[in-house]
Amino acid sequence: MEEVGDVRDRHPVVAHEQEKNGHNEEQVEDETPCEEYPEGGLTAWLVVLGSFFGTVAASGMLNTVGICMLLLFLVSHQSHSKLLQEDVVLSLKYKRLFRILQVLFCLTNLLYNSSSCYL
Amino acid sequence: MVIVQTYLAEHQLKDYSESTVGWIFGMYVFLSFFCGIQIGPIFDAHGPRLLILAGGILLCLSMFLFGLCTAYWHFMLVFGVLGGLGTSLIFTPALSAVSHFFMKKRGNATGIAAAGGSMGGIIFPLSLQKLFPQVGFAWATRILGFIFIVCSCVAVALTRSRLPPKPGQSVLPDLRIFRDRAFLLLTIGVYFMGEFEELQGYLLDS
Repeated sequence: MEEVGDVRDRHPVVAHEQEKNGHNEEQVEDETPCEEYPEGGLTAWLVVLGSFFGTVAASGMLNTVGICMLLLFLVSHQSHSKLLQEDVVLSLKYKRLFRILQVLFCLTNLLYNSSSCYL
Repeated sequence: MVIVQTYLAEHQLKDYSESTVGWIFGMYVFLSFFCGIQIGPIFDAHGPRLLILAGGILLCLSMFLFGLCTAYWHFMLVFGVLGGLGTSLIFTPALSAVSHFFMKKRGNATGIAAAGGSMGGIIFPLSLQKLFPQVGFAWATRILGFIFIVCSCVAVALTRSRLPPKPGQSVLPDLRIFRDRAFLLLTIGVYFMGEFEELQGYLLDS
């Protein structure tokens, strides 16, 4: 009876080990394609270049629209302000401010996107 | 200080309120991101080349027709719908294709590719600002269209995918991926993170 009991005790262990092994194999299967990624080479970097040009057109237009919306918001709120309508010099200053803001937003965006290089 | 939307609000669409004009650009931004739901699975099954080709054609067409628009619905259809679809068709597969070639350096490679958008975001508003007074609205957007043709041609020629599609994969979006709890949480987080462009949308509404 004890032997039978031993065998019963062993079975789950064996089964567990088999599961473990199976699991390990699955993990290895999961990891192997990761190691097969080229991680560089001419084709891969050419794809990055192509993708770069694609995003210049697509996301470039998106960012342009974003900047336009911000400017429209600022300009429409500027026209409601009495101070700016009365004071021409101040409005000229604000025009400069808008230009600086525009360039700043572009640069922040560039930094934001390129910072993901180091993640 | 005159760029696309501000220009439209002061010229062709001056009878409409700013928030009504904002809907055109809201539609554009919405479609640019929302269409990715369907474009992602198509990319997985068929690769990026045809998608980017279609997107380039739509985006360039949108830019060339932009100068001919006169009524509100022209702008909505040409820029909001056509441009939004084109943008989505280019930018979803372009960024996904990079991840087929990199695993450890994926962030690096995707970052370099995404920096193109920032470069466009610097060049296009500044060039439009210079071009509007010099050549007028129609030709300024057409010149942008010519730049887009060059960019799309390079993108179509160079972008390709590497990993083969899984057997029996459907081209419809698969909602079962949300069964993975970590992925679901990530998706919700990214959803609420928002983007620069969407933030502008909220600003405009307030």
